[in-house]
Amino acid sequence: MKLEIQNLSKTYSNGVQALKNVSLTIERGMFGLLGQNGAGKSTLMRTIATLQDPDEGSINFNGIDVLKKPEELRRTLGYLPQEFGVYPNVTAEELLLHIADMKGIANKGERKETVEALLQKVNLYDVRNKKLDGYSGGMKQRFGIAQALLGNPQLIIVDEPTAGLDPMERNRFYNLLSELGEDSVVILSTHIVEDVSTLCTDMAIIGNGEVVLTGKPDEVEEALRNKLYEVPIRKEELVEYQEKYEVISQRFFAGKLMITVLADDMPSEEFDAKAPSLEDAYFKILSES
Amino acid sequence: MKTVFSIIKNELKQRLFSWVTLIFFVMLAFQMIWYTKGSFDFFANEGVLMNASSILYRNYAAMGMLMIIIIAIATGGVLYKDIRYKSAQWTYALPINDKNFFVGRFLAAFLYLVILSTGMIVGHLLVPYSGIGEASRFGPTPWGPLFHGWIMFTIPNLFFYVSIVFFSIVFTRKIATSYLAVFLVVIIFLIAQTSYETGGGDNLMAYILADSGGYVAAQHYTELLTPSQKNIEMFRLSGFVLYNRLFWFGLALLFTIASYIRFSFKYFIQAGVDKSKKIKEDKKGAFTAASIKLPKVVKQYRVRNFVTKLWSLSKLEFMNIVRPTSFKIILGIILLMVFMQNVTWNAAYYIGNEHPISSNMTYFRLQWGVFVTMLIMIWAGELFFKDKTVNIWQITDSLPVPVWVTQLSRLAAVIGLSFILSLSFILVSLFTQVLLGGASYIDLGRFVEDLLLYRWAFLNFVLWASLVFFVGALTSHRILTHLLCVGFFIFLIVSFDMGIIEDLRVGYGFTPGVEDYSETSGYGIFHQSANWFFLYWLALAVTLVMAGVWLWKRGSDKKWKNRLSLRNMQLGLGSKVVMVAFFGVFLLLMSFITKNVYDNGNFTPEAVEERLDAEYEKTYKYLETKPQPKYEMLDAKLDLFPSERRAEFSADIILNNEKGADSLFLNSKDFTQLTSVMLNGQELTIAKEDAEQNLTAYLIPKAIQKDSSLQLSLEGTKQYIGFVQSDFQADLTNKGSFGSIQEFLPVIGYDSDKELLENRKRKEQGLRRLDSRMADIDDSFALGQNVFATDANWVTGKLTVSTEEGQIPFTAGVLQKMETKDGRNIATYTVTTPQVFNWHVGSSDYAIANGKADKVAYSILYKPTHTFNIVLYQEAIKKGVAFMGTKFGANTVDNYLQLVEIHRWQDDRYTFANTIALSEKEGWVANTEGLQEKAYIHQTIGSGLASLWLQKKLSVADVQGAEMLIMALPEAIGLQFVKESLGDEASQLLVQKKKDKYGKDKNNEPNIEPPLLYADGADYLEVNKGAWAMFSLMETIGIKKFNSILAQWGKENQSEPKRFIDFYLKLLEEVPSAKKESIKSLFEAVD
Repeated sequence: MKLEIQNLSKTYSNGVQALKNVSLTIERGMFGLLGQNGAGKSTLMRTIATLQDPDEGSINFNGIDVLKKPEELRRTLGYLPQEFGVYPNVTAEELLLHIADMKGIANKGERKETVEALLQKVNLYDVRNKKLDGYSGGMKQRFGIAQALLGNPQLIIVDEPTAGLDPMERNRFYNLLSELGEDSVVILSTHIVEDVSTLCTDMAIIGNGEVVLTGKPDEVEEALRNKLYEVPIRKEELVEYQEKYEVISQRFFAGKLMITVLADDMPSEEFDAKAPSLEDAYFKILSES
Repeated sequence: MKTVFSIIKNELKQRLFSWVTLIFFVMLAFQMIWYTKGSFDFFANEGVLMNASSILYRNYAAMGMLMIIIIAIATGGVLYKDIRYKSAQWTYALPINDKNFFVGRFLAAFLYLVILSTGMIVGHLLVPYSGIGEASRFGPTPWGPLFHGWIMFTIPNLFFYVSIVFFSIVFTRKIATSYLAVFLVVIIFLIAQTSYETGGGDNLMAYILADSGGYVAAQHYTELLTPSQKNIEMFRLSGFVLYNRLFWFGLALLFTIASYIRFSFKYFIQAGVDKSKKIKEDKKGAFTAASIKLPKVVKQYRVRNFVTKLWSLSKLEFMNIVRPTSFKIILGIILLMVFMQNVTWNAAYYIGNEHPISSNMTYFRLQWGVFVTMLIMIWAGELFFKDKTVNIWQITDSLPVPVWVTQLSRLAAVIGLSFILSLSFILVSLFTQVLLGGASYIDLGRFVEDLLLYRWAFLNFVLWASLVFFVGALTSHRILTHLLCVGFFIFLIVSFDMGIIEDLRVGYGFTPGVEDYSETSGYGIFHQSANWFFLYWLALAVTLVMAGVWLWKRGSDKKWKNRLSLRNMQLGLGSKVVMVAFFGVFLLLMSFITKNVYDNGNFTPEAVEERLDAEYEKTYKYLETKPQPKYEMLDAKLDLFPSERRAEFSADIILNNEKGADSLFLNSKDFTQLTSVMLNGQELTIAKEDAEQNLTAYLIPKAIQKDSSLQLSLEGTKQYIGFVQSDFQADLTNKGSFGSIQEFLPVIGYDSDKELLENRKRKEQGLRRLDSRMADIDDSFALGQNVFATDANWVTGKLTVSTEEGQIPFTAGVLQKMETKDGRNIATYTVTTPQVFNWHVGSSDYAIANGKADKVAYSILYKPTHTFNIVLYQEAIKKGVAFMGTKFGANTVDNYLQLVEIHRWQDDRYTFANTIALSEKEGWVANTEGLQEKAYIHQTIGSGLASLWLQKKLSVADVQGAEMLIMALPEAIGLQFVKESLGDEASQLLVQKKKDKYGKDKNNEPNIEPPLLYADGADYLEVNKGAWAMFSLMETIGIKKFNSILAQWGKENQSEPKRFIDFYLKLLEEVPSAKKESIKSLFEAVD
């Protein structure tokens, strides 16, 4: 089970080049696609989900030429877009049954059974008969994942699923997403590093429409081992430090500005060694680009 | 105040300096040029200028659909944008007073529209330079009305629209309600306007008040103006215009004040937030995701599964439309309005109420069809773009279900909706018919044909929904789809209405004859035409739907190249072939229709017709004074085959040739062919043949040129071929044929009926301007001509008419024999006393009521179901015959009279040799319980009998004033009869009707209204003003004296054509001197 993307490029009519020669190979499991807002993640997701035509390149999933035979991919696709709405006057159960029908589950009993199971799974069973326009943001996202999972898809695309969720909802979502990669290819597109580090076994970072890094999160982290140092400074000193060191990120901690510096050796005594995280790797790439 | 100004300044700055505003402005200017052309064409009079003030006022009141669309899309957003773009949270937190904010936004919206509407002024100023009319059609720029009309109509109208938009948004906190409110206002206006035009004046005040724009009031106002007033008059703010303006301005003020009071930031920020719907979730509940395994499922993607899905989805989409309360409310309002219209509106022509027959109950569709079509188009557009609107498209478009399943299910739902609406119309109409007492004459077939087929009904809705589907696929844009589709629809309606477009082949979804149902003849040839045109549009609609499936944009940013590619399998290869095949069928049908309607000569555009008529006059005018033989005696046999629209005829005609003609010019009507023409038993040599004008000239052999009478033997056929788009071809229509005998037999010499009579048209065709439509009273040549026919004086004859089984034939004269031979009904008529040659012939499936009025045997031929007033007609005939005998000592009709019901497609009334033919709309289905209707029935019979008597007694010269003798005089005698039979009140009711009709119609006089003394055949003049003036003259000198002068004058030189002026002068001598001046001004002057 493998998704292969080769040399995918896309330029919008306003001249924005959203994808530049993107090539990726994604195996079974949870794959994180990390990138800033506007990096081209959603364009890539929509293109894989057959909703958009690229200018060049190819996409192949398990032998299906996605661009030539989109209808075949759709049979095995589960897609949760970044932003989506729902029909206001229908209930969650009604809409899921409808989508199940659309996904080819012809047997009424099977539809009912699978929808009920999914409603349980996303914890919406109790409110299954309520109209969707009364759902909160988190409930709608869970509904979204439920519809994506309908029909046991082999390729699941979830685009920015945790954006806008409170910590508790996000936690629930991690629980949900964590088991998705067992039997399918799951692409999790996000700009939140924690999403990838928490859930994904493989990842890529995309910036300005290009893939700038691929690998496993722990390998990416490991590459920075013994190379990161941090120090609390005053805000006014930042420029001075930036001139002196390779500052890859900065954050406030207890009222002070904590900067992270990339160096082969300890820059000076005032610094402390820092255990690398995926976030550091991400910031490093961003600072380089 | 500072806040208010600041808001206005900011809003106007944002809106005014944009491309959209500029485009709107230019479009509004263009629209006014276009409207001016249409309004100008409504005013037939040659003296009305293209930049007449009346045209400006009407344009400003109408504002145009474009302005309405701009109002709908641009106004609500001014108030609602903070909610829509979620900026209200901070905007409303600014240190601004909420009421000031409301006032600022309100005034900004209003001022924006006011500024934009100056495009209308600019459009009017550009009209003279637009090329739509020659320089001579324009007067000096009417600066006063140019601004006065804008201030009187447009500005208050804009104020009203802004007030209703803000009112609906403030009170519902939804912008969609403002669209609905504008839509409803427009619907009410259109109903008021069309009802005013078709229904007449009984509910005038209601129509005027129902129109928010004041257009009906402006229309009514201009109708009462003379041509010169139309050009320059500034409207006075009085009467109906004042009532209308006050009513709607008051309403606008109320809406504004109510909205002002209701609006507050705290209240309005709740827009779109319905906390009552928010679902509370138990957040502490255990999260059990990991423990639940999803069951295995079998997925199927066979065509059979998709077809099943299509069905189930269609049901689902349909239920989603009809389930919400909002749908039920809209449906309820529509049905209530249809009900009200059927109860209150009545097909009142000259008469009053009609019985609730089924065809009257389906008439509402002609007005409502337009609005329901628009409603369905908008509904369809909304449904097709539903996924985009609620932003679920990324999910649905990535589902493994073909476009044809999802989108066609929506089309099917719209079709279902249209069906339900149409069915509801049937039910509510049936209910109304029963309620009004028409249960016993319910004709279910009428409801099905009118409301479920394609005469502004269900199948038309389907066609338009299909177009929306295609346009939606092309544009992938909801609002653009609405604008294009509704815009195109309105464009077609207005263009056909104004005559800018005539060819129905380009009128998508239009079928011929939708308004032309006749109780006697059904839709006649339009039935066949409508079937073919519908098939033609259906083939296109299927093509459009299939192309729509092919091109539907699934997802976003799809390349046109890919969408148009044959490899785009949204529409399978086989289906693509079917689509092309349907397009081929469409082209084939187009060619079939072209051949049958256009190539066969069943339709000629107005401009071509006018050119041909002008050419005829230019080429053959000399024939008018060239000696030509005239009809004197006729022995004709006419075999009608109405179901085949065919007739065969032969005739032996004795021609009067006292003037020694050397040639014989025969004008035949379209589709008539003379197969044999013999004169005194000899074949004739053709001297000239003009196929375009259907005219053939024969040389009369020298040997017989001096014979005082000639015998012309003719044989010929008339066969209509193909079908029509706008012409009734009523002389040969199944069940209801009726036409002049000269639809078959030729007109000899110059056919003056072909002359263009409107000076504006004459000028366009390079013909000389007419000072009068008839010859001068001293024109020596015309004085020798009979007004009824230039090619005949007094004619006798024998006519044998046969028709198909189940129908009864009739023609002029006294019925001698009615027999059935070889399955055909044959009637033989004779005209033994010489009569004017205005004979007609007809055939239908009549029922007959026979009776006797004194010595006169009469037969009433009527549609079997129209028994409503037969007894009343019989009573009127009996009284009428007695009246004529008492007053004039006359046996009006040689002891035989036939009264015949004819279809509504021709004139209201015909009187010819022993026959009165009355249109079905002239009282056959009237509810005659009221005095007015009873009086009308009496008047039609009385004036008919008088007309028959006068035709026998008077030879009327073909000069000015002739119609006073042949139209006004019988009408006046009819009024006399009504007064005597039913009393003064009854006759005064009819006089008032005539005065009203004259007052309204005289302003549409295309040339210059002549005094009655020189009346020249204007439709509105003699029969209305002429009749009441004659009646007034009768009363002035005393009826007895009037009648005796008439009887005496008729006897003088009986065979010589007479002039009205001579009769008038005789009568004037008897008028008391105190009243002389008023009578003289009535007859010798124009109001």
